[in-house]
Amino acid sequence: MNAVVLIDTLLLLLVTATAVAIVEVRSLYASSILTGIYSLLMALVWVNMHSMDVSFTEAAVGGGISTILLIGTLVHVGREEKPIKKRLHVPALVFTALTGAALIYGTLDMPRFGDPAAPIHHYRVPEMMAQTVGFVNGTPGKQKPPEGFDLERYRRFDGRVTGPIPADPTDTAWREKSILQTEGLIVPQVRAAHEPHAEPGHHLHPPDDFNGHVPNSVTSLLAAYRGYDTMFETTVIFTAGVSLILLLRRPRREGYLQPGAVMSDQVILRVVTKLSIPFILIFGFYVITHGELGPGGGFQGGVVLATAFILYALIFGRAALYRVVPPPVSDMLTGLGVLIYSGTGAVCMLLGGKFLDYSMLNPELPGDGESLGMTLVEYGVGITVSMVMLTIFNQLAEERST
Amino acid sequence: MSTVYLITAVVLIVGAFMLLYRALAGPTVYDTILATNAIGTKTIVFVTLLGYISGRTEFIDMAIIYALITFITTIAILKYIEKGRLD
Repeated sequence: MNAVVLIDTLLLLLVTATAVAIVEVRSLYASSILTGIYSLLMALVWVNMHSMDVSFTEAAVGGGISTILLIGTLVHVGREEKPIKKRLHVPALVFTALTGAALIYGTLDMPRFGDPAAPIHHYRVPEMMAQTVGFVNGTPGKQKPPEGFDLERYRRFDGRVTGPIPADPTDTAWREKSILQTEGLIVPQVRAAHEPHAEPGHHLHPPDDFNGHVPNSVTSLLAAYRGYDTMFETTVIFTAGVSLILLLRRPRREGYLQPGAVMSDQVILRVVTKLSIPFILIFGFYVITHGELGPGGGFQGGVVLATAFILYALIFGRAALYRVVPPPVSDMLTGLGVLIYSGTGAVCMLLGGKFLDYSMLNPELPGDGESLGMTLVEYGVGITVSMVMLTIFNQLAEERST
Repeated sequence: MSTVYLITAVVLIVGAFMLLYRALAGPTVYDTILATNAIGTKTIVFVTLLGYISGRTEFIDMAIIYALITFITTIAILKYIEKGRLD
């Protein structure tokens, strides 16, 4: 058995066991903790598939913030589940079984795990991974392919498909050979893709400049190829934050500045927190800034930034947090993030391109312009996400049914 | 993947199964918390191991975020148990 598949099977068994445990446990905080563990394990499954960005998000949002917010909810609803009479509800059972069967039937048509002949490796995606979408069609504002540029080879290289693609993708001999290469976990082409010198340079860039495009294809897809979607995702988060403020925040005269429960009598916690918060903040900014090079980006980095503030509030109380980030400031920053994102798009338009056409930011070196635009946009996302997470935490902690 | 690393990974997962049992059966709250914390530590080692096997340095970032998250959630849970509130 393939090692990747073996580890995957074991991990998924563990995930299933955790899910059953979450349902079975009566104590609500035990099930909250187990939900965090479920997310961490699910993130491990993504890590095993080498989808680092998904894994990063799952760990930061699912394992970190969600668990803290669930515990915040427990403050309002109490620790124990209400006892209910357990009896078999036949229609529900039949419905669930049917849904499960339909889902399993749906997976029968999916390609094998790690199948290099899967459509995702051939249709459209290699083009997007090589960031040659605008490049191929010669869209105004994008560069033309240079003389003697082997586009086929370039695409195949970045699309991580091993060997020449046969005319007939169902050619089994080729498929088996490629799967064997994948089983070694390191596809030679994947390794080569991390060594920029291995590829001839872009016509406008020195060879060590990641060939003039953003190395992490996930970020380039999120921020450039589907930049509109990401902008509106950020807007959704912004709307959630604003709605929460409107629904839950008490008027100031009722005193939201009452001190919270302080844990500063715990010397070890206090010292460790003070020591680690700067590093958490640096890590958060690193994740945001580094999003175009490695895994991570605005969403994940924003969550990491928010956890630093939440840690501060946990140890030193909410009043101390409000002295650092007063609610008016966090509200303003929430909007500022969305403004930065859409403002970057508007600047691209003013410079003569389309909305969010980052290459306009540096017409001489379009690749650098794209990097700059994506970094700006990621910072916008990061600011909004961190401040909305902080607001959710504050409102949950503030509104207590005493 | 060489056999040694594969065995290490499998042992880590089996250890996580045993800890999950402790988290469920644990007579006190603190058993549950300690067990989930240990699962978190195992995941950190597991991610680093996978990163070493596949030769990609980005996995270290993942390990850091796992460490950060297990630390903060544990503090949140303990504060809830001690004070009954989070703020």
